[in-house]
Amino acid sequence: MELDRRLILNGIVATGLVGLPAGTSLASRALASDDGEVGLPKHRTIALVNDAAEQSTFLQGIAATPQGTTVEIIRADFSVDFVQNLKRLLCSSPPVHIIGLVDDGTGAFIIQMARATGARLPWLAQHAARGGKPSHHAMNAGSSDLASQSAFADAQSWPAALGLMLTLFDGGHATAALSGVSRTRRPPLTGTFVSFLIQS
Amino acid sequence: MAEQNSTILPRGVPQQAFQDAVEKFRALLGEDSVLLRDEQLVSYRKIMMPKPEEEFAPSAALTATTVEHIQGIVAICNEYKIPIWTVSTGHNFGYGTAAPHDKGQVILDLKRMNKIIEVDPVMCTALIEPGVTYQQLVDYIQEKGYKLWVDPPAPSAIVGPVGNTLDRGVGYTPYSEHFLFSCGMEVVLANGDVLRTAMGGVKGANTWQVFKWGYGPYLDGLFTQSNFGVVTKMGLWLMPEPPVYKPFAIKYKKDEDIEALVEMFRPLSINGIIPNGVVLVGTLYEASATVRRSDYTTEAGATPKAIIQRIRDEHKIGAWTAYAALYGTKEQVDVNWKIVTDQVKASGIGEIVTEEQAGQEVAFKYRADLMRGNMTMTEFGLYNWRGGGGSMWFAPVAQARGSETLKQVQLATEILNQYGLDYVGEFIVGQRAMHHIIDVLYDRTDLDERKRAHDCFATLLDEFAKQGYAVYRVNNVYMDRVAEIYGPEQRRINQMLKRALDPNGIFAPGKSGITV
Repeated sequence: MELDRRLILNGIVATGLVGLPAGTSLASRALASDDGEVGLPKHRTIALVNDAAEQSTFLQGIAATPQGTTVEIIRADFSVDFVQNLKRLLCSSPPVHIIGLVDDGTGAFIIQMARATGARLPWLAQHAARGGKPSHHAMNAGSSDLASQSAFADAQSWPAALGLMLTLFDGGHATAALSGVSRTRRPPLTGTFVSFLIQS
Repeated sequence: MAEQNSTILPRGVPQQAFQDAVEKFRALLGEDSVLLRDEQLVSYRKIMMPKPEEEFAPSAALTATTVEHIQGIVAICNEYKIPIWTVSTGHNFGYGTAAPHDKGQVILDLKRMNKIIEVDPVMCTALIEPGVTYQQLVDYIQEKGYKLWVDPPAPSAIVGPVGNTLDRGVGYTPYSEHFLFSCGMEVVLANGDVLRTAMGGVKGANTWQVFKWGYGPYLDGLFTQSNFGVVTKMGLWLMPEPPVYKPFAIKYKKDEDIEALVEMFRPLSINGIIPNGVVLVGTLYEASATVRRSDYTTEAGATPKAIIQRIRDEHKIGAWTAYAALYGTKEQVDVNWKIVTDQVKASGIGEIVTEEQAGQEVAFKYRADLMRGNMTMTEFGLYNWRGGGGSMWFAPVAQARGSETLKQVQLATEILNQYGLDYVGEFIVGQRAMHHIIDVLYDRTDLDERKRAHDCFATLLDEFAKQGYAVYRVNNVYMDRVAEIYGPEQRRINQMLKRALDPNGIFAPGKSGITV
């Protein structure tokens, strides 16, 4: 099940902007909030990825969302076309959620563009993964301490945990979401990255 | 949601006074234009400087749309002694991004003052507000069908002419000295007056955007790299689209070739044969368009020379690559092309690459786009060379003399390598002077590397100063230090002007080392 979804996701990434239906029982467990209900995003969600993050478990984490969740995947790059598409999304109505795990270069201007359009960023973080040790620096005041959470301390599963958390980000639900992401056989993600949740 | 940033206050401003000021800002601008919540402010804290972002956290951000708004903000700030840090688009990345100089300063973000007031296709001029981006201006020009070019700096599409000009930034076309090609400003002063400089002061004048000097002291320079007012409109000159545009590159194999290269290009630049900002790009700067350091090594420290040579060999990158262009009629370009190629051949070094020969080469296309004012984001590849989000532009000015370039490159490389960092640099030649642009790239997520980068930059400033060199622009962390290098007399007169024009010190305290 998980492998199939990964293949589908890879295909989606290769073709650009496409709707992604996803859902697993794992996600349902993971996203159970305190009152036992599953949190489903009520808004259009777009995920930006590129480079190594695109091949990581980040998309797997997004796929581990409840049935009925749709996330569109866009590859972030240095093209002017991407910049113009992103600007359209940031200015679109109804508002959208844009989540992402990208390299430092595209992360630099994505965040600036979000600010330029007056978007809100409930989540902004910098990640480094070297020698099998991930470290995380969340920039929002009051953000949870990721380093203390087991899913984020794991070299293989942290991108998936992040993907799932950002897809269903809702303050108190974040921690519950982390526990449900399984380990994967993919090689650990290496390098430095920027993650975000932008609410247009 | 609670206003999470109420604990961050402007220096010396009590909580109650700040809250009172906030209420007045809301009444003036509307609720949505007074940003206080963490998710609204966190993007202002995304910095590239080698300090914790908390040290630059603003207490609030304001967005204004009219000159009257700015006047109202100024009045409130004077009443409560609130310091404001003004940004137009705030995207200058390695020069400080949108972060204020000091924690707690209120950001005045002019992004929504984004009207293109006029583009005159005959006079080739524009009058714009601070929030206008180069992309917006290009879209407008194309929509109108005007044959005019803009001259963006490298981040092009997302940045704007006003902010870049006020920071005395440069571009790559023949209009590369942006302040030189600006003409007329409108400025809100700390006393609420609205000053229109030069011909803008004459009632009914239609020469505000065509004659820079006006009458009496030329004032426009006072409002660049300073904190004496808020510029709310600026005129600029646009380049007529030439019939022929011919970009080219010349690749040089050896590090020391830069000496002969500069000696050859200076007269071509001064004589107007090559009219644009010629760029001499070092290996790693050039490589960053397509290569990452991690492709070759994951070892900490400066990249070994052997690896740099491998990058040159494998990617066919010169030790230096010169990019320039010819503009004009076919006859003009043909004549100048012969002059250039004859000189290169006579020099016995350098391999000329034309646009046709370059094909789809990413680095060439990027430079060719910049030299004709096209939008491109390729420069952001620099931030992936080492990764980790750290970048500071170290930009000393140099004479356009071969021996000077080699001296600066060697000094910079030695210092950067000593701190485990790389020389990633280029020169932009503007006739007699050059901007030596070095991106001090480092990993902000690695606290040891961040500390080294901080110390490295300070050493670069100090050691260059000992040789009589100084930077033309710098990020927030080092503004005071650079002001010291320019000497006590300049500091004193800047302070005298500040006290006279902004006695409460509400405009950007600390900008360029200037305070009341």
